[in-house]
Amino acid sequence: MTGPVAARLAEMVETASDGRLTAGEVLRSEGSLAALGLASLELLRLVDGIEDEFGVVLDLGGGAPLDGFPSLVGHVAENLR
Amino acid sequence: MLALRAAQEPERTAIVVEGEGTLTFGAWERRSQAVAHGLLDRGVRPGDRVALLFGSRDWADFAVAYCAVQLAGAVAVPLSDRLAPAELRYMLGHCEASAVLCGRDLKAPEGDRWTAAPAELEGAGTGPVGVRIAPGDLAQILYTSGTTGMPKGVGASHANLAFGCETRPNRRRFGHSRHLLHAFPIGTNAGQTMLLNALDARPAMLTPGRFTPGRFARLIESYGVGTVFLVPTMAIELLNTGLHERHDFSSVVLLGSSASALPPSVSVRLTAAFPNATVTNYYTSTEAAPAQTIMIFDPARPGALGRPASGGALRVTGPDGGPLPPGETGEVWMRSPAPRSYYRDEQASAEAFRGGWVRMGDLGYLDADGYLYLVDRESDVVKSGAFKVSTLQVEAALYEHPQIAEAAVVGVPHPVLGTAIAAAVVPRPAAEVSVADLRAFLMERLAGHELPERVLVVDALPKNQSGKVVKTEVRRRFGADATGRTEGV
Repeated sequence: MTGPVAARLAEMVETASDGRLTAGEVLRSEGSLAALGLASLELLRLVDGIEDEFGVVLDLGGGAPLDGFPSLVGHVAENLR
Repeated sequence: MLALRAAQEPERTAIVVEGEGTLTFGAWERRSQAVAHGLLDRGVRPGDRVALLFGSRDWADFAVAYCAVQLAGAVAVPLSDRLAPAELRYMLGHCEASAVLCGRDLKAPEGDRWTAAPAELEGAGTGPVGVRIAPGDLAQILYTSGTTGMPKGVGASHANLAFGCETRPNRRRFGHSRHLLHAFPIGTNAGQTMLLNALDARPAMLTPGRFTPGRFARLIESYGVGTVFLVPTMAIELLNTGLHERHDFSSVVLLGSSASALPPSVSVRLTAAFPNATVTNYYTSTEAAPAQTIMIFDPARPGALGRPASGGALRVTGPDGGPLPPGETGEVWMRSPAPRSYYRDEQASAEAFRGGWVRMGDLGYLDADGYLYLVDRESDVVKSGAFKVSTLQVEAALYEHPQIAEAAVVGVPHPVLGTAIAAAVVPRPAAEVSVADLRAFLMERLAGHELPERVLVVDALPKNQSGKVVKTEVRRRFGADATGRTEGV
């Protein structure tokens, strides 16, 4: 994934995981963030961060935007417009 | 209880699910009766188990379905939408549920039972259904992690659930508050306690439809919430992310924490973040409820969990089954005024329930004044955040993976969760195990809170002379100097 939104979101995943996941590996990932190793509490941090910074509200129950990093980037970018 | 409250205050709001809607006592009763008629029309009979699979945004429908099942004389089995498909299948099979009522967008696993949304059952009949219920009848089964690896179904009678509930309007609990906020999931003992609070306490029960710490903090401020219930993990997250600095928490007069002991340093920080709140710790278990200890944070006894309340009793027990004197460490036992038991598991019941006492699975001691303190222990059940997780169950799921030869799961210290789940796995010869694939595999079998946060692929597990895995050594390998081949990627 490339682009400023992807880069910023990857940084936010790194921060949410306290640095355990690096932005680089997040940008390269295609599977779900949970499969990548983002724990449930860290996922909540990420959702709060995205809501604060981008004003995009994510539905944790909905699945789709959080199924993988590319779909997350797509969802956030789309709802920014 | 619902009928009485609905008659007293039909228009009063009982439940608010933020972003979803509200439920008044009058509507709660009318809809519960209608769904109960629907259940009976579909053949549900007293004693049948009816599972309730709901996510937090459907708390109002869950409350309706829960009361409807009990009005029909059947047994409510609340289940969380966070459960993995394999866990759901096990629980539905174990209790032989004859039906599953589901929240929005949720589907029960295939099986010999019918499913419906509560709204589909409303319509046919109205008014009381007239099913007679005795206090000793089974009312509810809640699944909780057991030490043998498989979840245990904890059965509770109507007498157990109704114990201590308050029906006199001038005696209602939390009378100082208009709203009681929590984010406990459906299917947990804490969640059920909140449902009972919605029924009999003064404030309306408020819960976020989709929980995050940020949304929780905003709700406190926007509603001017008076009573807040959370777990230590949530409290630590609120403090660490500075949410108390960005939101006004001055409305809170009672801050209750349950599920595990609040670390004393966190209690101190909470008293500063919630300047007008009494910080209170509750200690119980799914098996022991409604017995509990209550501790109002006291800097003079920072680690104490309190003394027994709610009609229960407490003792620290020695190896011979007798009570130990103050200061001596032993098993913590709690006595419930209306005991629960494991459903369809006499052997486990005999292990955990002893002559009216419940073995809590914790070690601790009492001080001279009867205050309880817990000490650490080695256990196959670890508490991660609000949840009990059976490491044996996680190991069992790992062993189902075709490329895994051996697995050992332990709890490791975590700054917010208290304990995080960590797995060391040994691949089969010549097998290449990707940790991401392994997690994806586990997601079919385990709930989110049971997924190992850390995974270490190793060549061999540390074992003692008899071949038993040495878990203390496994845990050590997750320390700062972990040197496994793969770590968490």
